[in-house]
Amino acid sequence: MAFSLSISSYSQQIISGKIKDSASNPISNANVSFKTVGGTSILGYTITDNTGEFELKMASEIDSIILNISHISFQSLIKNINTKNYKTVFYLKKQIDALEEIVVKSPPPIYKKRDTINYNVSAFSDNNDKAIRDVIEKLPGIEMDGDRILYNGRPIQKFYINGLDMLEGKYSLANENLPAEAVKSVQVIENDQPIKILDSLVFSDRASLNLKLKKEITVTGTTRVGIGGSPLSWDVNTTPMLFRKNIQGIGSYQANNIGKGIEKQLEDLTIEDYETNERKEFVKLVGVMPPPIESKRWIFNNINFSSTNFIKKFDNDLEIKGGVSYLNNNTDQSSYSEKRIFTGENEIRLNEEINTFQNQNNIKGNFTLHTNKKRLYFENKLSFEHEANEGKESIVANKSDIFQNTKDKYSSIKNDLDLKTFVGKKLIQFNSSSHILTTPQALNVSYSDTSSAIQNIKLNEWRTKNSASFIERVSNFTIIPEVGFLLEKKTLNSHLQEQNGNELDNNRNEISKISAIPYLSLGTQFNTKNLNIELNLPFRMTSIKLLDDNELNNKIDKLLIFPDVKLKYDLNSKWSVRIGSGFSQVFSEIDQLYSSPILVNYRNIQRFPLNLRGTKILDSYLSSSFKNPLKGTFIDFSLSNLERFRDFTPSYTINENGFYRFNLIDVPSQQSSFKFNSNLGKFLRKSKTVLKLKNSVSFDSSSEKLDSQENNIENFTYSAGLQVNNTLLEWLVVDFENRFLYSKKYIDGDERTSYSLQEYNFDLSIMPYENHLVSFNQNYTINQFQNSSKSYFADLEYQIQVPEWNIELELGLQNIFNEKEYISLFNTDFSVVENITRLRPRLFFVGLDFKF
Amino acid sequence: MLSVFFANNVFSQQQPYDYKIEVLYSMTSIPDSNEVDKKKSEIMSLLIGNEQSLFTSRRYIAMDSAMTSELKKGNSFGPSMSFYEERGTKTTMTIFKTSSNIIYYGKPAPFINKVYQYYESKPILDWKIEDETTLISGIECQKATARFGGRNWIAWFAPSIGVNEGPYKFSGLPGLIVNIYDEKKHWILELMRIRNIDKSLDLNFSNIKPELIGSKTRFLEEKKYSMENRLQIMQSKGWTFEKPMATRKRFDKEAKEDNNWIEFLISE
Repeated sequence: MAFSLSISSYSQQIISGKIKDSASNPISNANVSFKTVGGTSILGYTITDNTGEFELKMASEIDSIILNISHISFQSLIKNINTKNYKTVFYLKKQIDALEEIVVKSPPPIYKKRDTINYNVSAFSDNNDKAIRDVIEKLPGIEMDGDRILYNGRPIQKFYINGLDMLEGKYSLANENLPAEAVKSVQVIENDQPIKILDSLVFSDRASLNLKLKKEITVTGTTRVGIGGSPLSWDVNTTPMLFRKNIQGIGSYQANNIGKGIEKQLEDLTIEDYETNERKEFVKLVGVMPPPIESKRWIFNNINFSSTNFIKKFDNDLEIKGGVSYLNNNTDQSSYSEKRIFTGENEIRLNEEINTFQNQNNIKGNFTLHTNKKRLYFENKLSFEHEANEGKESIVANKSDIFQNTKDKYSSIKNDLDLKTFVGKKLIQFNSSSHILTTPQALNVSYSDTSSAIQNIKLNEWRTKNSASFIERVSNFTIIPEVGFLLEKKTLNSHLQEQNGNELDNNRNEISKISAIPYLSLGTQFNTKNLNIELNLPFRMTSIKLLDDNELNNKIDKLLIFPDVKLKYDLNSKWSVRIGSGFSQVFSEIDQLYSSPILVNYRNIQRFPLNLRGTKILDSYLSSSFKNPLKGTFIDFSLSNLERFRDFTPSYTINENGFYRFNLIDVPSQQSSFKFNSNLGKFLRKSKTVLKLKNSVSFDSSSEKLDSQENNIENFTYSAGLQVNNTLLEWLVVDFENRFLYSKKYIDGDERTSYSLQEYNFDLSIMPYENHLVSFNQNYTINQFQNSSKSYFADLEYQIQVPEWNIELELGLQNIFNEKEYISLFNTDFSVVENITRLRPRLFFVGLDFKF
Repeated sequence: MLSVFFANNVFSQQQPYDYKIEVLYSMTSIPDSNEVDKKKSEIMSLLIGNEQSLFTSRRYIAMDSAMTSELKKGNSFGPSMSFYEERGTKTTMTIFKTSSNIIYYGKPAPFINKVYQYYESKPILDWKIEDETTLISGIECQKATARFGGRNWIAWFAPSIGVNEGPYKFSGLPGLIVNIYDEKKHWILELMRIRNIDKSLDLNFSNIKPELIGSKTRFLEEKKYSMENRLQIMQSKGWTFEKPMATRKRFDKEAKEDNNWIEFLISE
């Protein structure tokens, strides 16, 4: 069987041959085709028969051809031959390289494979997207809380790029700067157990995110230079990135004075527990209450930031990674606020005109050794941080002038070690975590009546926590007995000098808190395909000593049990339910353990009775999620309840000037908070629309004392949000966002205040011609209190792309209508605040973006 | 090892068989030629081995292997309903191609629990290769045409992918068929991806023993008969209908709307 193209049978010639493998066996079913020398199309072809023989007919004028022989299992042979009575044997070599794999059609926008949900970036991105963050924000099922990425309402555990975790929790640097077009897909790995040795032993219910890049070797990043006025404004950013199979690096230098808060790129965003904040601020400027609008509208800054990060993975699975970053941030804010404080039947008014200047210098670094093998896991992370800050603030409070300034430093070194390995058949793990820190702080206040105060603080702290455990699986159970100890010492030295005319008042604290907690814990997990149950039972021999001037003042010696139980059940591939409850107990921290007063700021002085007060915490939740990735539907909702049973009652004493003292009184009290959250994400494939709907209801209550009168404070908040993003038309992108917030406060059952906030964002991007883009962004807010305030912002931007040179020119006008101030309203425990924040003036700017 | 292949001039396909390459195609069709906007599409898998290829719906393979593994566990009901809802298909067309034969398997209609089998001897296609070349998703392709099953087909094959295979019954070009469609574009088969695999597959047709039917024409006649007499066939199997007249009307309408098969029935 031979086929050929337009050849008259009268002037034909035949070439024939035989095809064999290297062992001289004939090869059947091989393709034999030919082209003319220099020709692009095949002129004739045949397939070899069972004896490996072929015959090709062709026009007799053709005297030389290019013969192409191919077969699925052999390497192709291309030969330039002379046709004259040609008959020969061709030998094919065995195929060594597999066929080049090809993916032609883009996969569906969202699909799930095992535990991984894949979002195809090209289905969600539009002309207006720069960094991958702009795309992630739109994905149904994923929420963004500031810079934090949430899946099913919980922060993601890891942020990988091509499977490597370079930045750890500080992923914002990549998220904000990695161009969206370099990314092929965003993957969410549900129940990700990042530690291989624990895989199928210890269940994880947290999700991780991976960015799959288009190319295995990617050199990318952006460089941006922007200048504007007036006043003279700049925005510079160069963030080159390199991604290869076993090495990745990101460097960055960024500087601006247009209100971009790049300091956020240094925050650890994977921490689930917001309360683990190691920083204790004893003195603090009053500062400007942040209004609920974008930072670029109101932050007057001058910021410089640089960062270098790398990860290298060796062939033996050893990874080294590290990073250093430096930040210099200066902000200059002003606001006017009217505060109404409710004291029993009375109402105190405090008017403050504030001008705050803050200077922050921070250097941070970390170095990690990591290996993650099937039979060995080892990680050692060493990190350090040093920060030096200065702040100045001038205040006109109820017509009197006050000046205050702060100076503080923070230095810490931390080391975390985690080792898991098999000893015989047993999996054994060791954890050791230690840190030391020191933070001197100072406040200097000058009041208008020439009195003044100087507050000096020094806090030193060291802590070490070590544990050993083994992990054993018995059928569906995993049992983790653990033994460990925690040692901690915190020392606070404070000195307050107050000068009233000639009188000099001295107040000192010298407090040490020493904790020694050996513990035994039994963790049990029951894992089946659909059901995971986890029960932890730690017994902690808690011993805490409180020393005042090196003398024992107070101590606790107690055996405490902190049980917690979690359950996750998958009803089917779409629905899953999580339920859990945990009990714990905490004791007063050092920032609430000093008996001589400490001046926090000009109008706030604090001291506490020197005893170790406990708070029992009961935390429970129920949540459920539904997902149908192919249909693009994601729903999750959760109910949570946090009960705190305190040995004490917070108490406030407020004088007629609005100055207040905070104290704790030894009367038990309770604080509870209840929250309902729901999220709906839907991708409408036909209309290329992403819809997101959010709802949340919260109810908090706490009993507190104000001017020695006990009050029960209740807060009710309802909020809803709608987000619509449409990219149906290539030349038009429509983004709409609506947010509604309603809050009510009750004191002893009486409704005190209520307020509402409505916010509308409407962004339109039009592409009139190819490579030209006009974006018009509008923001409208209505703040309703006793009186209502409205504000309207609009920005216009024009972009010209020059793809040949990989550049983009941008002309922009921000705050077109030159709104000068923003009125925001806040509800604090006993007060309501109306705040007027000064806004950034209208700004015209020109920017140039280079891509590499 | 190779001698095994030379010794057999296989009449039938071999199962299980080791496949080396998986090629996925999207198959888009217009079931009713009077309603060209109503399209149906399915991901089809072409598995290529040394001397044999298999073309069928990817979901059909998944269904089949789930069914087989449930049976091995002793569950004769097969996988759960939700499995069928999520990953089920009504496309049962299955084509094995060997060096000498094309063997077709399939149900004549979705409501008939029978799998028929017929043979065709190669070659069934008289390809005309044309001078025209083009780039399809970065792959250099050349045009070829053939008349087959009552339609004029246009194929684009890739000489750089040295496999003389293609989707459905199409094969025999010096390179993989990347795209193929009839001139009216009522049936379109487009390449989605090519992957190297090493997979042994034994397709059990959802555990129905295939019945040999004389020829392609006989199969298509059976298909026509089944569609046109659906009510009686179903009633004879014990189905009862509350409103048989209305059901008959609906069935007739559905039969009428299924008028654009990939190969037309051309009476012998």
